Amino acid sequence: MSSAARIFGFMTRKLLRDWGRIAVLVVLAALAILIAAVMRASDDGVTPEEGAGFLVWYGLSIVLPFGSLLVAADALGDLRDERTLVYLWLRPLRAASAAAGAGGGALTVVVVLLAVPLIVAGEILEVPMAGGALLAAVAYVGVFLAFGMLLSRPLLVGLLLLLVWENVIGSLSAATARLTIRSYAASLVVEEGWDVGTPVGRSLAASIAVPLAVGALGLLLAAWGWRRAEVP
Amino acid sequence: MSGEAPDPAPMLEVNRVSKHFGDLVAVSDVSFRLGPGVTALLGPNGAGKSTMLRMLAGMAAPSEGTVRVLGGDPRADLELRRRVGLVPQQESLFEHLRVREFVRLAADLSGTADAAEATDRAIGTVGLDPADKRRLSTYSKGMRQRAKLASAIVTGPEVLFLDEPLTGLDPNQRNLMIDLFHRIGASGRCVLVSSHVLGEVQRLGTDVLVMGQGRLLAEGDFRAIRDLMDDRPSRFRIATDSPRALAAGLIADGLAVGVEIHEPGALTVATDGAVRFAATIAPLARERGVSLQELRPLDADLESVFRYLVEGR
Repeated sequence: MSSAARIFGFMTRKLLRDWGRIAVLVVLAALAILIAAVMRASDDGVTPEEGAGFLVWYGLSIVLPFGSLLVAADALGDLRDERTLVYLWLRPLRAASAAAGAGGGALTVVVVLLAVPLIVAGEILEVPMAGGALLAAVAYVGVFLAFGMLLSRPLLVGLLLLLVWENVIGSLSAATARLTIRSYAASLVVEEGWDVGTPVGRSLAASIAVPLAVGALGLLLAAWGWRRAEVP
Repeated sequence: MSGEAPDPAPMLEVNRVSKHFGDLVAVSDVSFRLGPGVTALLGPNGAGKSTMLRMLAGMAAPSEGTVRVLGGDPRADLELRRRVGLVPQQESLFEHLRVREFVRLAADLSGTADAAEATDRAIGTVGLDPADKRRLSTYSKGMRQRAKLASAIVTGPEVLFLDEPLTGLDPNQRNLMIDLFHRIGASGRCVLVSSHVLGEVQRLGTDVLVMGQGRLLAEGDFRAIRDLMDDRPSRFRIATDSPRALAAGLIADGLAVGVEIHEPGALTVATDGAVRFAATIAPLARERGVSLQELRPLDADLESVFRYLVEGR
């Protein structure tokens, strides 16, 4: 088994042992399914545009980014804060393997606990959520994994990024929306002409390539941080 | 061709190393070389011992100078990490793991051959039970120290760094661990043990590195270090049947710089030349017809050396 696979297994298990965090994620995800079911069951029915509006707002603007922050920023950041990073860092691990293993573990937790329930909610509302949810998870996990490795207060900085950058700046105009992960993920969910309250309209190629590139950049930064770390 | 054997390459080589954290100088211009065996890294809290060990293990980069472990750069050379073990000072562990999982993780990530067997052997060596089903979060301080040690030795490292490894252990466990360090050192490996507890260090052996305020104050056999402290007279207690006659002889021969007779049948002598004193006292006593009943150095122990070097008294 490769080093990255061992770190992946270790990290997945570690992240799943934090019952408080898991409970928060499960509640967030369950609410998506519950609200989708209630919308679907209402007497007035729900249009795909209304369903997409809810899933872009709740799923792609709240559940996935904030859930990914809770998971990915702590993947390596917790090890550093708890001063247990030493037990991995002292082993002959390539930085890329360590980052890939940790990122893979965090991504698995985010996909299973958050993205999959959002996809289920999308099925209920007849909105194709799979592509947007999975790619958003890749991008956010990459970014917050790097935050955890590089910053001393990754949760605080991550919160600021989500609130100020993704939500405020991303909502100002179509031009500034290009700078947010959310707009690329949402473009895969929303059909042309729908109004979901957030600027969309990215091309299919850009909607796939940009989140993947952001996720990969996050992994590279996390690996760089690992290599340069002054281990406590 | 010279008949002398060449100096073996040192296992650790620290050359003019300093480490700054902003304005704080944690380690200042430290140089030393170590070979196989157990060496104690001694100094009070805040002396720079842990920072030194972190740089030796590659966990921190020196601000200045170079560190070589087994000839390589411990920060850059990944393969070197298979050959180096560290017991860090912090108590924290992967709390959700059991001891076998914790030690096995270290073995697996290092590519240790027969990782399962090596894991059980390392855990047994430190006196823990490989089959223990409890998680590390339930372990006492002493058990956590031993789990860390098992994780450090599971790969059979050639160089072992131990940062305050005896903290939290009961006397019996301390004896076992000190014996283990000596066994590892005697097998040709380099063991560097940091401690601020003099009693511990004295039992680890006589080779010491003494640090204070980030500087290396002395290195080598602490008894030899004491002998080299020319500005500090050595003190001896001598029990004899004629203290006054012996005192007169010591002063007349220039062997003593001070003599105190504070009890019947004994005197305390201060001398600038401890080696000459030890070699001359018996002939002198015979010459003067004085019987020597006891000759005991009063400040040749590690505590005295440490007090002189670190506290300046």
